[in-house]
Amino acid sequence: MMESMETMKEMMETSIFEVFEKMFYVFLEPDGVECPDYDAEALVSFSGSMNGKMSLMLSEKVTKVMVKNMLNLEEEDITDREVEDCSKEAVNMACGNFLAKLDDTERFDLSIPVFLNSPRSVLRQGDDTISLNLISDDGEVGVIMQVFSKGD
Amino acid sequence: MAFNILIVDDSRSMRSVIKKVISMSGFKVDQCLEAENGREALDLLALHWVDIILSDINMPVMSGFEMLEVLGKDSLLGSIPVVVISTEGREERMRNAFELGAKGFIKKPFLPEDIKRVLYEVIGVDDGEYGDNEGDDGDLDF
Repeated sequence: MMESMETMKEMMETSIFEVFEKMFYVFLEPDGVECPDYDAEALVSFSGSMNGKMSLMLSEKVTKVMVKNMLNLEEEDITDREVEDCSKEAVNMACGNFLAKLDDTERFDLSIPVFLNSPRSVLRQGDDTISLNLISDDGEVGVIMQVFSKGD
Repeated sequence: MAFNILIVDDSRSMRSVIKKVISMSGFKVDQCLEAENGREALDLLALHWVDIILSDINMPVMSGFEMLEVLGKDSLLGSIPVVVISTEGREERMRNAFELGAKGFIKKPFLPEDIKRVLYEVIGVDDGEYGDNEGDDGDLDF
């Protein structure tokens, strides 16, 4: 079952909010401005009744806050490894949470997430993508999800 | 009674959070072992006895499901209760986990209380038996 892109966007937003609030104590809200450059990206692919990729783009500030809040570390103790680990875990949880909301009965397989130090997502925005620009006091988060039916 | 616990997750951050939640839940932990995947977990289980395993599903090298299959074929290791902690909380995945012998399922993202509740359910003793639950109002703060 393929929901409309607008419905999927709402589900994706709810999923991202839930993950960031529960696991990282970061309270995001939609941001109307155009997507700025980010400092890091975590990417996961999924396959099932539909295939796709979800990319989570993060500012340096928000990655530090995520690690600090999740692991209860001081900023000077945060290493690149922890930033990578938390970013990958965040996209994994956001994608899994979104897919469960999309169809709780359908089987989807998630790839192992990858981490990239890139200012722009490897995913390009287009008709088959859903994107979100989110902001909090702790920094910016961008999400791009590309979806395609099986066989595309 | 103190427990030996094995946490299996490819994310070091997630292992740290789970470990912290367990200790804050008032469980007396004797030894807390960590593994990055199912293969590493099985290697540790060949050397150490644990009372409960908390495992992710989606991991490189050996997944949580593959590990559950191996454990299920071993009469001794198969008796260790396994709680799956995963982003893949859909009904079908939960059913698979239980069919493979898992005793509990916690969906990520989770609240500390979720882990505490499932641990108590799976280990099957009252809160009082764990002794040092500070205040024990049921709420945990990170």
